[in-house]
Amino acid sequence: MVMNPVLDAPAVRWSIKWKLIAIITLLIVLLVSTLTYIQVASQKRIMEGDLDKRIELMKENLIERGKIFIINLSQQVENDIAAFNFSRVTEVVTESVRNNKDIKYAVLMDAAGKAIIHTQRPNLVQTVLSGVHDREALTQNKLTVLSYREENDNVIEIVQPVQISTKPWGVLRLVYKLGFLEQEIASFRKQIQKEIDNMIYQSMVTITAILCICLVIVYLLSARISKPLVYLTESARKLSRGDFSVSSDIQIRSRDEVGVLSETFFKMSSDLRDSYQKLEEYSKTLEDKVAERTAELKKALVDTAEARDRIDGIVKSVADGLVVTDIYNRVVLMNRTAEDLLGVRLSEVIDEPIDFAIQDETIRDGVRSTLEKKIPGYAFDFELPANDPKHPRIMRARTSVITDKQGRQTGIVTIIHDVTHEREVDRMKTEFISTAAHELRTPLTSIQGFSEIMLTRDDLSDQEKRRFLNYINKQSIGLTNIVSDLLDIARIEAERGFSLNKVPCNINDIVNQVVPYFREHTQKHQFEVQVPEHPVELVVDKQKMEQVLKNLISNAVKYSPEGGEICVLGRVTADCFEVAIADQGIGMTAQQVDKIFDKFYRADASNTAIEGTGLGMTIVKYIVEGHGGKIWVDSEVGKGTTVKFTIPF
Amino acid sequence: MPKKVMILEDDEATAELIKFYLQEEGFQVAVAARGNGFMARVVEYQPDLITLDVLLPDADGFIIFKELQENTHTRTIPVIFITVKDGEKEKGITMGASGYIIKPFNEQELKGTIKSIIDVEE
Repeated sequence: MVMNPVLDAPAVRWSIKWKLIAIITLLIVLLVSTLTYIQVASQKRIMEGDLDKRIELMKENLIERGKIFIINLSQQVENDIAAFNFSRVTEVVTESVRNNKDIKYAVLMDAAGKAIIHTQRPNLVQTVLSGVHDREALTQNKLTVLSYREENDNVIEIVQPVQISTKPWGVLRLVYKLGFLEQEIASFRKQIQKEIDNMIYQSMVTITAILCICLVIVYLLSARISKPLVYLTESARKLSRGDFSVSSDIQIRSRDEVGVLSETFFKMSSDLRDSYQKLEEYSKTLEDKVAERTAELKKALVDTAEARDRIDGIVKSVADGLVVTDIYNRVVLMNRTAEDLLGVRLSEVIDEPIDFAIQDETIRDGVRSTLEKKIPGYAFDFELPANDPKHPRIMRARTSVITDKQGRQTGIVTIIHDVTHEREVDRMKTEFISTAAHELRTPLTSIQGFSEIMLTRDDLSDQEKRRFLNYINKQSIGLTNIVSDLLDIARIEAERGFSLNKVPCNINDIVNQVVPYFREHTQKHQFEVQVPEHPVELVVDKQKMEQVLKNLISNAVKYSPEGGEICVLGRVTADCFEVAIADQGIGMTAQQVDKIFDKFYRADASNTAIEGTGLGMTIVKYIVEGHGGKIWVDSEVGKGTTVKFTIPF
Repeated sequence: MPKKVMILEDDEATAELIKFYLQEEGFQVAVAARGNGFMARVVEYQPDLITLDVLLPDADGFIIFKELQENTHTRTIPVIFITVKDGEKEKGITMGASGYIIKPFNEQELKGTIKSIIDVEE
């Protein structure tokens, strides 16, 4: 049995292993990235906070120093102003600014806002400053710290009111640069960045390391998971190809889902194998059965064909005519003999009604009445015209009802048997019996009569007595001959043949013994006997040979009632002795000659006065043939008959 | 003058037997063995009764009977068939035969039949 091959086994496109690896990688990257980000962010925040505090501290420090500086400076300025030493003021302030790197510039303004000193922009001296910061500073009446942005720099301005003799005079402003602070911040930020970078780098390394480990683990794990699955897949493929060897080699021993799956799978494949084996057994059994049935069927078919052929052969071989008709009196079948007898061909009359198919009315009536009267069948005779219109052929037809298994009539089979010969034989037998009876009656009449006379008459002379006894004796011999003929023919009929008592004898002697008997009994015939002068010795049954000669000569006498010459000629030929008995009698036609050796046949049945049982020639023929010889007849109507026979040496 | 009977019978012994019985009764008897020339002999002999065998080597008794009936010289002569043919008694009687005796016959049958037809002495 052939399994359907798995044509397109689906290939694994996204194996579990790679899926797992992808997912795990993604997860790890995500996780580590997130963690790194959080850490970096918080670190950065802390460091920024530190930076801010530091800057604040530095600012405060700067401011404190600036305050002290400006207080000192303002006292000097107040003093100098009080002393009206304005040059000195300018000198002091400019010097102070020059010596203090942190100070960007210093401005001294009077109460009206007029710049007295401006270290950064000397051109503004003696002008009233009207800037926002200028005016704000002018309003301050105590030490104030201002912070703002100026010319892209963050600056801190410390304002100190200047009082002369407790009277406000103006303000001293010192503007401090924060550049160093920014340098500090920048360097600090750089440091922070460096630390963050370091952290990220470490994270990356960690990620890579973890990832590698994870990948190895996942790879191993997934291999552990997918390997049995791959194996299972392969097994399933094998299974689907009808390879049940997989069911017996269980390689997976884990107790997880895959293990259970494998076990289940192998259990299943084992079951499948069992089922398949059973199925195969069944199918084999089935195939065997089918083969067996097929063989039986074939045999039955052959038998049927043989039976049909046999029946066909039988039907065809049947010497009798066979006509089968159906219940509607239509011709169904006809064998060759029937075709010939009825002068039709089955092909012409098949399925035709018998009225059309069969000319002879007797048959049609026979078939019809068998069907109508529902009798099992009966026999009837009919005549068919023959070549010789005087002697029609006599047919005996027998009808039989054909019934099927249920006993229903399905048709009639008519068997036509040519009984012409049988009837002829019957006729001849009847005639023979009658003739035989007549032949017996004639001698019986005289035997009975004369014996009675001799018993009842006392006055008979010796001469008379002798004459009567002679009649009785002769007629008794005649009776004996008839009875002997009958016995002979009975033996022939029984096919026992003759028991020939063959002894060597001189054929001339036999001839010479028989002829005188006829010479004595007929006056009208002259006997001419010609036999070789020398003795001819033959091994024969002497009595039977005498019977042959007597029969033949007696026939010659009988069938030449007008008398004439009867020749008995014996001559030696190459290998046998030939005897010819010729008469000049009534002779026979060729047809009569043909039948002369038939039992009971008499050449002229109408001429029954000619004695004889009609068995003589038959007996003669048997005797001659019993000696290995031949017998034949030449005859011509009105001229006479010659019978010749041979006896081999 | 005794009555004359003519016998047509081919079997010598049977003819002799019939002749013996009839002579015993005083008939004058003549025997013929052949159909050929029988008519002439009958005409010449002028019998008072004829017995005919039916089966003759050269003739048929019925045909001879017919000839006898047709001949003016013989038509009045009564005829008895004496034959082995037992199936044609009716035919013989119908044809006008005075008797039909089937062989083998006995003395009384023959003599009785003949005497019922003719007397020896008239």
